[in-house]
Amino acid sequence: MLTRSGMIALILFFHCSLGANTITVGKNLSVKSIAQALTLVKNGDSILVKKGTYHEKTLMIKQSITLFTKESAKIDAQGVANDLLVIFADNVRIKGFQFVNVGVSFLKEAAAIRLVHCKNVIVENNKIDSCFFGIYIEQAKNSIISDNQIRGAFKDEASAGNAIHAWKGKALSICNNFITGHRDGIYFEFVNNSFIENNKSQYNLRYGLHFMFSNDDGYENNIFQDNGAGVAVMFSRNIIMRNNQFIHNWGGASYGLLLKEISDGSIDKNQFIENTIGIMAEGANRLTISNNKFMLNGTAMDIKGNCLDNKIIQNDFVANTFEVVTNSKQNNNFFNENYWSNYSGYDLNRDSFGDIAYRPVNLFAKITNEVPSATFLLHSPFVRLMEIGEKIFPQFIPQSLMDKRPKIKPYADD
Amino acid sequence: MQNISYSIASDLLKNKAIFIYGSLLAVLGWGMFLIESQPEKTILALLQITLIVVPLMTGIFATIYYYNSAEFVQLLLIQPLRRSSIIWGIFAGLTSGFVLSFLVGIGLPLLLFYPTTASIHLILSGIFLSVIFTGLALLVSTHQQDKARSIGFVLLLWIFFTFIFDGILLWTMYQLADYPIEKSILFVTFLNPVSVARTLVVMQTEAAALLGLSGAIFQDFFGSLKGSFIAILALIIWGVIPYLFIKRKFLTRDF
Repeated sequence: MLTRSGMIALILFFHCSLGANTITVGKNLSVKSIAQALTLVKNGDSILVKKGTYHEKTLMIKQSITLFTKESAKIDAQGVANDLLVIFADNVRIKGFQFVNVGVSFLKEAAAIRLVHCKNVIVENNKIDSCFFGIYIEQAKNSIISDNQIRGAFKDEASAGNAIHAWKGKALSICNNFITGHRDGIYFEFVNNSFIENNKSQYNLRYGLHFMFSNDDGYENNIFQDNGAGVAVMFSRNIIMRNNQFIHNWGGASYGLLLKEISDGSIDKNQFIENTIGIMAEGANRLTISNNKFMLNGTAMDIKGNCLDNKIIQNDFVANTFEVVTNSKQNNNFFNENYWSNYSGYDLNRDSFGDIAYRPVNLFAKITNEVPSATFLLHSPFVRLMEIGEKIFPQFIPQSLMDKRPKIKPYADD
Repeated sequence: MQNISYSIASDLLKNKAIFIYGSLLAVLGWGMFLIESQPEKTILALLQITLIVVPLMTGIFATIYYYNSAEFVQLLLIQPLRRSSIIWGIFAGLTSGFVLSFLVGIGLPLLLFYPTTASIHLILSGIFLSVIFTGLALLVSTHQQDKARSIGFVLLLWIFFTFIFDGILLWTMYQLADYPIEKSILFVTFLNPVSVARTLVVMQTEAAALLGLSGAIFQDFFGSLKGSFIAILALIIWGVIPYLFIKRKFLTRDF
């Protein structure tokens, strides 16, 4: 995978080597519209767009050009459900525009910017407001989507589009974007070897980030906040998730991170704060979940019986109502050296790990899993009494689901 | 009438036992906030204290106090006073003593360190539980001559309402797990003042764990203003009905 700066250098080199003209578009100039300018360009040229609002129909970019504005010119689709800008050529750069008002259609997925079968494209510093889809990537390679602000104002999921939608792609880099109010913030389907970094995705109707059938990707340093259901990683392999924040994804069917049919990834140094469920894992195999912080979640981890060989090590579990929930009597995962704030053991040999093993599955969590209406008894003194009994004579909760070396102090305090 | 309740309340406040009760609550209430850095956790600990300690202590103390002041009551009965004002005086005096201890011990630190709607609901629950269990204790005491049997019976009531009731409820839930029983559970809850008090507070603190279909039904009901209102109404009824029985017994009783 190319690094981001490497990719920029390569693309810039390519641009410079051609030697180029710049065509200026402005209301008072001879070239009055971008569509007109596009008929005049050849490979390597640039189009500079002056300030103003441009009502354009679908703009097709078929040459390797740079389309940019220094005064954030506005391109307005006026509510028509057609793509605003379609890039067919390689080495295209789009910079600094405002795209607005791409209409909603149930027949086609109209987007502000669409990349079709191209490579080495850069889309940066754009603002996309009230568009059906924001940036739609169709079979692109080595492209960068960065520093864009994409805002939707959708009310219901069925008629909303995704902010950044990638369908088939390779080596994409999605970074420093701000995304809000769409269906999915970032959607990846059949996208491999790509990287998502430093984005903020919040108040989206469905997922902040959604992976489907995408392998060998990574996302780092992103913030996912108040989305309908957090982040979903489904049917994918080798996804690296690091340093992200999953905050306040709250609601009846909500979670911070949903793992469904995924394998061989790692979840490292993330923070899960105030989610209904921190991590919900179904059919997740061979993942390493380490150094994360789970704080103030309803349930920190819901790990179903079909999850195998995951390692959950050195995480901090602080003040969650339920720490681990499962629907199985067996345990096929490995819990070790985590900090559990409900642990009440001691450490005689002073190695900073508790001497008694800890069972994070709470009896009451198990009961509510079997009889949902029992949630009504939360914090009942009777339930407290049962939990104490269960702790002394474990009978119902999975025997083997235990942390043999629970940490005494949180890792955050070390 | 005011004079009787005033003298009983002031007598109670001078009582060593009530002083110990008040200071126990104060140590727990103030101490919890001073050692625990997360107020969300403290309020849950205080909820447990309110649900377990308050009913137990008020129940037992009220029973003991009633029997210990039997002579004083008989003295009052000789005076040209109406019986209804005497029993009201005893009831009001006892409850105001307990409520005051609760407010100082748990209410004040809650308001100072964590002034939220959850705290206000917890304080309300504490006040109601004090009143209700004083009422239940007097109900037992007025119907029973023997002090030891009364204490035993009050203890049984306490165990029933704090532990056994929820146990039976849970057992029923397991038996009827396949049926939509959420609404019926809502109604059954009103049969137990401790459950009502608990639910009132829990709905204000942790919605997260209560989500899902069943949770949503409870949340819809208790989380709304209407729900809080009905729950508080239920607690008021739980306070009034025992008093009516106490009064009826006290008026006709042969001393």
